[in-house]
Amino acid sequence: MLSIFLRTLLIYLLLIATVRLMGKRQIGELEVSDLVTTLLLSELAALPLTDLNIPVSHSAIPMITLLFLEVASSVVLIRLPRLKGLVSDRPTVLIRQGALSQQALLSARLSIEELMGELRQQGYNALDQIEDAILEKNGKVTLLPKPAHAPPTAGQLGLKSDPPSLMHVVLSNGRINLEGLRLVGLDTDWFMKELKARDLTPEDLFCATADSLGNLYLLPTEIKKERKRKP
Amino acid sequence: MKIFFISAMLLAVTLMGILFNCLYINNVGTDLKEQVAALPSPERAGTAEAILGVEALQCRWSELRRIALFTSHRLLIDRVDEQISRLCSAAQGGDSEAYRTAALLLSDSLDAFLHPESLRGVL
Repeated sequence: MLSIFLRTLLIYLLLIATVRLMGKRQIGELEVSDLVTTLLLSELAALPLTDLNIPVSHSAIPMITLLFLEVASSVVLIRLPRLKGLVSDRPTVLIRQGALSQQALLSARLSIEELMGELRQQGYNALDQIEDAILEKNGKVTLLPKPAHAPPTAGQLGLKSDPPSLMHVVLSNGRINLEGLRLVGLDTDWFMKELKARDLTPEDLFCATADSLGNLYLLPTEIKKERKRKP
Repeated sequence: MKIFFISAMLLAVTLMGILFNCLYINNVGTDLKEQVAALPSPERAGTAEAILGVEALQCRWSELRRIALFTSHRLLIDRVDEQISRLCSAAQGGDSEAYRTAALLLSDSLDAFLHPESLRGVL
């Protein structure tokens, strides 16, 4: 067990260093430590399942160690942001004020074709449409278009728009979701009144969503109708 | 922070378990190795002294085995089991050559069993 614990520490640090050196492109949407933990956990969980000679403790110890390392590293990195550069890469500016940095592209090991692919995926077809492009820590490219190529906002067009209001699920499978109602600042009485006004009961609905402005979206249940049709 | 403290506590409990297990296995394992070294010479296989020595060894191993089942690889435990059985039958049958070989193999098996609980086992 002692060797398993120390091996977990060693392998974790080695994997962090390896993935960190591989660069942002290998990461996908995860942070370096998340990716390493995911890689190790999936293998560890399978060990005692596939080999009955291996005691469960041989999986449990590395899992608990990884849990601690993952949580502790995130706590330490929040408190000591200077250390962040050791574990994860910093964002790389690929295009600054319309000028493409070939050096940045090279150091990120990103080809021009791949960058063009990113542009196309985000609805642009030429480099000169982009003011700034940043390769983020998770390997995604953020594009900021030049004003001439940016979609106009409601403010620029002088249009009035309501502030965005999030919809929450207030009923699911015929059951009222009190937490959802609380999140939108409404209560069961209001909801029941709304249903009564529409001649509905909670059992008639598959789901209902509402926002803090009192907008309600109702989806009737199909299962109940089918049941009703059955003799 | 709550999750951090929970994970830190889990790790602390795990480390205590690891430490206890490491000390216990090393203590009893070293005792067993000493007992193997102190067994009567192969020429005395078949004597009551040799049989009692091996039985005492078997008894001590069964204590350790109960804990080891939770923490050690089954193959390592089975190897020690096998060598102790061999040693036992050689001691009872008076086969000095088989007794010598089984004692040597048991010592090796105990080394292999203790290896993961030592710092050498890390690499």
